[in-house]
Amino acid sequence: MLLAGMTLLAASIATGPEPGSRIPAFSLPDQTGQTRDFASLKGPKGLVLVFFRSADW
Amino acid sequence: MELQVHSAEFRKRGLNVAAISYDSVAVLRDFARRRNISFPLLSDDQSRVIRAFGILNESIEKTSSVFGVPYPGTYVLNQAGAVTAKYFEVEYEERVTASDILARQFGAQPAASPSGATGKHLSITESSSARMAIGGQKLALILTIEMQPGIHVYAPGVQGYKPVSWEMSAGQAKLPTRFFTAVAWPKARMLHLKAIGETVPVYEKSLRLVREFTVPSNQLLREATGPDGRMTLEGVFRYQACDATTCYNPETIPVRFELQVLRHDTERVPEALRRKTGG
Repeated sequence: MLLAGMTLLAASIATGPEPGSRIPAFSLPDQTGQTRDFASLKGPKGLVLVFFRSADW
Repeated sequence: MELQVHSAEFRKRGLNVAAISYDSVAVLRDFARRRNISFPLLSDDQSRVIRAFGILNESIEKTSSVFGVPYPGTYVLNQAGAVTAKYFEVEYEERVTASDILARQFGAQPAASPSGATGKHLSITESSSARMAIGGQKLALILTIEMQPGIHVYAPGVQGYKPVSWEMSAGQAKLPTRFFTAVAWPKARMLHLKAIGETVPVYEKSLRLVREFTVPSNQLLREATGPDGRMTLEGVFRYQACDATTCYNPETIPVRFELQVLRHDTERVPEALRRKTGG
């Protein structure tokens, strides 16, 4: 979006499923220990799913 | 967490928010409590889901305590679980913030400064790529300059005229200039002035200037931020305008950006919960 040329670096990182394709199924515990999958997380229009580095550092 | 602030805006648009990291449930519980996070934080302890998505950061040594982290990024998924958009940070690129995603996904406007400045020959609108920021975050500061018909200003590199310049300096925030990158100057048009036989680089009509600002951390952030969490960045835009017949005196116009700074979390999870090196 910003400065031209930055996209040149994009090749060096992996960004997973491309637009149009389905994400892999998953099932993980949340902060309360409850197991969640996509169906239990999504809203009426879908889900914003964020991968972040860590809450620990 | 910026995402917590924006999760209500996503929900209004029918999208729930969830976040995945390689942290344990205990770490996430502590983090959610300290940061008042109400959306689900999912624990991918063994990085299995991170691997299944194909976004494990492989450039990290396997013996490092940090091994197992993903390339950070965000997917917008429809009802069926298909990706409609994704936003990944590229190294050195500005951090993708929730407000960026709102802006790109839903056309929410970037925050404009309350005061657009109008000079004699042009008008300037200030905006930024995010209205909320945390320490260490990078965001874009943007000046959109609309010149009056027939007016041109001089691009950097011109001889004999004052080129446009945009300085961000002290201002209220008293920040050293190292927090601002140089301006990305657009390509100028070469204008031939028949009357004097000169060819000069100029900008006409409209001009969009972008530079990156790194929000400072720690002590500097505290000094630069008001008690209400507002940070004001001040600077000046200088130019010399000419039309077909006349060159006017150089002008200096103040420009101003206002950001809301979110409290930076410097507190770590308790020692007992931290991931052990080599784990």
